[in-house]
Amino acid sequence: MKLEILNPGVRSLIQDAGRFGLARYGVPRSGAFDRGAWRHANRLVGNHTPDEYESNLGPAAIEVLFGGLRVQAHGELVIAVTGALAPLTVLDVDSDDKREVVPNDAFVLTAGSRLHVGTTRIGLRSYLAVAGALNPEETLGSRSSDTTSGLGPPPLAKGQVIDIGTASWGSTPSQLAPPEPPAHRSVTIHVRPGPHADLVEGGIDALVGAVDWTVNPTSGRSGVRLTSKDLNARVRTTRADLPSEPTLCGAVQALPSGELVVIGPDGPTTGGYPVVAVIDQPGIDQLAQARPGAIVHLFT
Amino acid sequence: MESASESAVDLLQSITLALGNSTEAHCGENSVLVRFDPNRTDSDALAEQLATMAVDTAQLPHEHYTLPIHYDGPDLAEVADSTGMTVSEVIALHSSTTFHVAFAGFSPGFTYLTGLPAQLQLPRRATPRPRVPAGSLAIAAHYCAIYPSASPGGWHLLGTSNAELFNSHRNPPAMLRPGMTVQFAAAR
Repeated sequence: MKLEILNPGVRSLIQDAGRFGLARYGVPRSGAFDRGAWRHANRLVGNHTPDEYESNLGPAAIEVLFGGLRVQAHGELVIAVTGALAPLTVLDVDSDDKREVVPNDAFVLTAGSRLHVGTTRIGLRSYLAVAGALNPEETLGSRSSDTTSGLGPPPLAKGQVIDIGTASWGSTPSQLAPPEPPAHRSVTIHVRPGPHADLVEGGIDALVGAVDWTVNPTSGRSGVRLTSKDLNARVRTTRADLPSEPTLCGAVQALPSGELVVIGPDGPTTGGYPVVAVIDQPGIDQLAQARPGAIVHLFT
Repeated sequence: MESASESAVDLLQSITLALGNSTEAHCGENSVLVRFDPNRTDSDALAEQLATMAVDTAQLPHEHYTLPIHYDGPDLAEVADSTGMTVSEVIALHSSTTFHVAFAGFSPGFTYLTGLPAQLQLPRRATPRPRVPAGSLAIAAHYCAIYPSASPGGWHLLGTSNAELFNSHRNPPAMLRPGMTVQFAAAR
């Protein structure tokens, strides 16, 4: 069984749980940005997903940025789409009928039928999982596309045909609570003090509460840049010249400009800016769905 | 955690020996980051385990590499000028130095080598190059490195290496790894 990419949309990437234990060689973790949505999509189609701390790469799915993806089934496929909300349309090959399907539920795409993930309405990244999981070649123990280093499969391209694995890892659970839907224009994210919270004037309190942070358009899988228009709310660090320290996804760095950069899954493994706060995976999932221009509030 | 031992590298290697490869750990210049499963342990228990862990540097692997280098970098003359040495003196000093692979970062296989003699320590170039070719041997501040792949860069380029520093089909993928020592030999 295979899945053909008729149109990749804005940008579609293959992502699994990422590359485990290679940060010491400068290799980012990579993997799905919104882990909750990725996990939910895979569970809906019966693919076993490993625990976050297992070294198992997990099933590969498609991370669709801002919609626009069109695919065609080669053989009958069971599919689920989660994460960012986009209209899902199936063009049935036998009846030539168009029908809408709902997100956060599994459905059958018969051989030759097509699925169109429309333009995203709420959120930023949708996850398309296929029963048996996508099965491109592994690079360093993972099938994830690392947009920074170029490791793993390149972004999906028109005409590409992807093998679907045959492994039956689990059964479709009868009932699965869907994850929280992505927030629309503003999102509130939990932070914990980072190792250098004391290098910020006012400590972590200077970042949280009423401070309006805006997701900068330069944000991506390597990092989400948060800018505050309020000059008084800007973060001032007392030191900007730390020796390079190890970082990981969710580390909140304070830049000399007063902006924050939250390291994303494809972010660097070391960095020299003070890490003033840390965001856990549920908050990273929220950030993965925050569009450029969205307002972010932080709380402790 | 901040490193109380002589080097973060020694601590990283000791942690790897103590906890095995199931726990992810990597280091920067002075600190080690350990990513743990909160269902199996907590930060207090882990900190206690690591505080009482034996760090016997003699037991740690210290592989040594001698890497041939063509000292043909575009910044060689400028580095000589800035440091008040001749080009041959720069090459002689650089190639007589034993470097320590301290930590990785920036890009896969990019490792920061420490041990650069004080006479060769210069700030980064005022204007970074948009593209530094793969294999470029470079220095900046108290670091030396070889660019494993082409990328923008603001370091001073001293020469080139043909070594395959990173290969995703190799295990481990990086040729230079924290804990190793490296010396460069002028190739003819």
